[in-house]
Amino acid sequence: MLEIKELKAEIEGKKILNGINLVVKPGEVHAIMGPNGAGKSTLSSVLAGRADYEVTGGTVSFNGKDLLDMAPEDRAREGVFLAFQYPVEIPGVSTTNFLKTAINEKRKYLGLEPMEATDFLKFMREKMELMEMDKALTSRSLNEGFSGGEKKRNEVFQMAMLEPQLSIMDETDSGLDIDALRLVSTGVNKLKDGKRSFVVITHYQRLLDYIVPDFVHVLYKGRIVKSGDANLAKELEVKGYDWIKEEVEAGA
Amino acid sequence: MNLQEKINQDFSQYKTQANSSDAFVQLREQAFTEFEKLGFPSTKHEEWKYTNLKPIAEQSFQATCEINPAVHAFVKQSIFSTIQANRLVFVNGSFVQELSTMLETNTEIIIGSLATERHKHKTIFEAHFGKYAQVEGQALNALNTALLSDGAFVVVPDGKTVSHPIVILNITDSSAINVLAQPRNLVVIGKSASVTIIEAYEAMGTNAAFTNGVTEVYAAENAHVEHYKIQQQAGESYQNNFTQIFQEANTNINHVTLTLDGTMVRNNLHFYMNGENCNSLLYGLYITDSKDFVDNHTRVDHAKPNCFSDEKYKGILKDQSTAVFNGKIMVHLDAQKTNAYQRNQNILLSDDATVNTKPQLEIFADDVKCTHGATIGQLDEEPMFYLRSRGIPEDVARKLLLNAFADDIAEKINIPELVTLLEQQIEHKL
Amino acid sequence: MAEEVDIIDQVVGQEYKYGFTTNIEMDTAPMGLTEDTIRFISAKKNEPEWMLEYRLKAYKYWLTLPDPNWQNFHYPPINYQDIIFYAAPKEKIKLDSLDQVDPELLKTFEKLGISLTEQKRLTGVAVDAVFDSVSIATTFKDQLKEKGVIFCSMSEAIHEHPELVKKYLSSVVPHTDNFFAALNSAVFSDGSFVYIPKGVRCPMELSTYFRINAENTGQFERTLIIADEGAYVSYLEGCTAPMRDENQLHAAVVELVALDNAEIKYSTVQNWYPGDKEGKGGIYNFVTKRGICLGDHAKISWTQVETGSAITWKYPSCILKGDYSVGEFFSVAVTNNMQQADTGTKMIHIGKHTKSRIVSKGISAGKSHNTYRGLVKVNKKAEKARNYTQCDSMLIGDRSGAHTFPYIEINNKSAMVEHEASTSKIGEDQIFYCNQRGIGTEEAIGLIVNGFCREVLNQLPMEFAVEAQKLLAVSLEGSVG
Repeated sequence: MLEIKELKAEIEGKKILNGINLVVKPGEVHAIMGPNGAGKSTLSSVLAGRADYEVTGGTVSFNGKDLLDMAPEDRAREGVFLAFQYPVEIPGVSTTNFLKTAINEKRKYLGLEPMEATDFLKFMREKMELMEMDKALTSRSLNEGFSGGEKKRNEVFQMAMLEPQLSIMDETDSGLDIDALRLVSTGVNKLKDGKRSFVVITHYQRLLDYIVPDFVHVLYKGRIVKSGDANLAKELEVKGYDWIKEEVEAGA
Repeated sequence: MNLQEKINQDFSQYKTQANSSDAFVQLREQAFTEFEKLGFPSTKHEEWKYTNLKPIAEQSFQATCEINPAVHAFVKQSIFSTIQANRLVFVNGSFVQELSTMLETNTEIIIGSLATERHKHKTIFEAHFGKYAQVEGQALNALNTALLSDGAFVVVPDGKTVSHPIVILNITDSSAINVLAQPRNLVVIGKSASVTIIEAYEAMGTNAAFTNGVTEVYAAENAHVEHYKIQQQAGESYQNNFTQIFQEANTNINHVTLTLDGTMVRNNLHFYMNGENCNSLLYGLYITDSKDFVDNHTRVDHAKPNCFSDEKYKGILKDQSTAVFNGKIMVHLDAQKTNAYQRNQNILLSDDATVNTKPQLEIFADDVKCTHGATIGQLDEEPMFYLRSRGIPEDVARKLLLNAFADDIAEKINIPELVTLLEQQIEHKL
Repeated sequence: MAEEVDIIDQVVGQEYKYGFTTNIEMDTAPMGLTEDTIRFISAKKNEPEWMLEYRLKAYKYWLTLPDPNWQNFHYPPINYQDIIFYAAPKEKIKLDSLDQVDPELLKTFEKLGISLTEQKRLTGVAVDAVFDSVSIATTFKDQLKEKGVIFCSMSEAIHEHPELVKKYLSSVVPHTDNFFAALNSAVFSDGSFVYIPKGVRCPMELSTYFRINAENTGQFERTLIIADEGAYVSYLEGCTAPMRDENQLHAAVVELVALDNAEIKYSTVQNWYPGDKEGKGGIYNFVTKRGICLGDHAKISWTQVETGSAITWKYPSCILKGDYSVGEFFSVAVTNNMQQADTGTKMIHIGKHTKSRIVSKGISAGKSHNTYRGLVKVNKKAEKARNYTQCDSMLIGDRSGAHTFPYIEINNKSAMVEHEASTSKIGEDQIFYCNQRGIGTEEAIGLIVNGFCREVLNQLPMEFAVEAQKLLAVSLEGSVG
């Protein structure tokens, strides 16, 4: 589904990604971990197409298409979803209106008719129940005045609505207390259907107790320096990142 | 003879004595031509919509250099004599050496009378004088430039700090006649230099006095200036003044205007940020009573990116007094990342008091954060009720709340004596 | 960036949707303005003597006035001798029913989405259609008549209801009010007249649709709405004009009178031709709109969405004379390319316990300038007056300007007046967030701008709100780059 080869990227002339290689197959959950400044958030931004980053080398293909060549909205319409670390507030725009626009733009792209208003509302109600969302949140302005937890839950709710093939979760656990973390994770797990894939970016292992990864990769200095299964995350939790840094420095 | 006629007479007299090959004299002649063209602004002029100069223009005022011996005692008991400071005293616009004091020992720092010092420091004087306070279209600036008497001349060289505040004490003495004072201050602060300046205005005498002042402040890169303007002219005192602060990059200016007395006061305060990363703070408090009139016109020009300005003017109005606030924030093309705040808050204590406020924004750059606001009203009933329900009598409660209202500005003042003065005035007036 | 530039090219190429012209035989006054022009107009309309006298009085006063010059925009001096002050489609006989309206005209309004044939019309809205200088047709008249509601053209009202016209015309906006009000009083050709009798809640929305068609003409309509004690009416107006290279003047006067406990809600969606990208052509929309809450507990509410016109210059105002009366002003003004807008309101508090609320949202894009100018005045006797003003600007691109000039004049200590204003931009992160959810940049801007204006759009009747939202998005197309 997703194939990243030798991906290099920089921001304002500063090299952040120095050759990432990663293959994600349908239904897989990959966790990307690493110390601060390793390039975790840069990777998610580059995949979603944020303009500030310049790709200086490598390729990313998504279902055989060149992802890097697409506008951000087209990547989304193709089925790439980024759950933001810091979801932005848009005053005056309700979540409902926002999602209706997003879904119909995607349908237009796929050559489908726009969804009827009643069908949309029904669909949204289903997803709200599934995600245990408070109805009040969807009529409020998008993310405006939401607590940290509410913002993150809204991201996962949007994920449920837009039904992406690939979801990239950028530090979704940051700023969440344990209850909110559980709610968010439960939501994500409900969306797993054996076909959808997830890339979970996190600094801490605790999220991975709830969203269990098939693979864990350690990102350091813009490269994946170690890969393993869920046990690698547990090892990192106990030992920290220093031993990996040492291993890398020794090898280099 | 009304003021206009008097001015014409004064200027023709001046011209007979002046040497017209002098650049300074030429500047004054140009200014006079501009004033003749414009005349006293009328209320039809948008900038003077609420401020009527007729009571001034129709009276007769006289510039005079005679010093009344009673002034000595007056200066001695002035609160501005209690501040440990370099003190320049001007009476009716003329410098009085024997009443002035100098604490500064660094001889590179110039603190003195404009009339004498400008000859000694001709280059720096000519490089800065009249360069910031516009004469074109500004009738009263033109008038000041044409017929200025004297004023402070302050030059702080690069990297130097003036160890004590500089007090520029202006006294109008109208014991004998109606007097006209036209003080003119020029302050030039070098790179990374710093200074505190207190412009103070007081009045004695029972006739009328009209002060028409201009202050130009130039702040070179990294300079830091604290500038206070304290107005408490008793009796029949009229004042118009124009202050232009010109900022180069990375400068910090903290300005506070306190208007505590005066029949008619019009303050024009302009900031121009000519470099990036400037901080400009403008604060003001006016407390008016009887039929007093106070008008604060401010303008902040954000001409370069990444500058910050914060403006807050507060007023408490009693009796039949009137206050005008007209603030303009101008964000120029390309002055991106500007942060500008402006606020005007007024409390009316009387049914006959009037407030006219016009907080304006003009923005030509898209990546800016600007907010402005104005409120007019009475003291909140809620806190008032709360205090009274705790057994505090109404008048004490009111005083407490008014003090709290004024505190916002008081805390921007870094000179303890000025804070004391303010507290006394609040106590006395309210 | 590259794809954004493409979007601009595509969108800027789009033409003003309502820019077509109608070919129809016209009856016009000779070009220019003299006393004879006024006599011509008055005679054309077969007016009574008192009306002609009023017009001539206004004309003589207008002659004494210089062109106004205090506004925050520039326009070349208007030569009033180059304007045709009266243009009406030729008609042979007095119309008795819609069947007799020239089919070409009906087609024009169909094309604008305004159907004058009642059965096709959405129920609940009665329309008065004004084409150039005259009212073409008013729908649902009979149904309104049952309730005692008068909804007709101004020309008709002058003949049929002279007592009401005499009493209220010019009572809110006197002919001496300003330059354009004087001009309008002298030459106004037609407009709408509404009277809602005591205690009646008007059963449907009333609406006027203005269309300028003829070349070189000015449109000077006059609207008068009176809500008698306890009455309620919601009135909407919409406007379009063909694309023409020369500027055309629209100088209307609207007067609202609300008696005790009456409420008038007046909504405008203004989409006159704005001129082209370089600022050529477009309508000068110089309008005087004012309402008076004459009675206690009366309420007047103005809502406007201003997207068109080369220049918009208007301040729909409220005089709050009755005790406990309420004035409201909700405004969205969008300027793009070379458009200029200087708009806002005046709230004059005279009665006790009067309240006013102002919400203004200005959006400037391209090289346009958008000015909010407003006055809140609390008179000496207006005890416990309250005003809250909120005034937000949004700039799109770095070559546009936003200006805020609020005047606040307070003469009573018990007043509570608050003014808040802010300026913001559309954040790149907001656009990226939308992009990431599959929403393209143009749609994202439409969405964000509509969100920014929501408080105002919520005030519009449903049908109009949808129209206005679309209009906002269309007006701003091509504004980001």
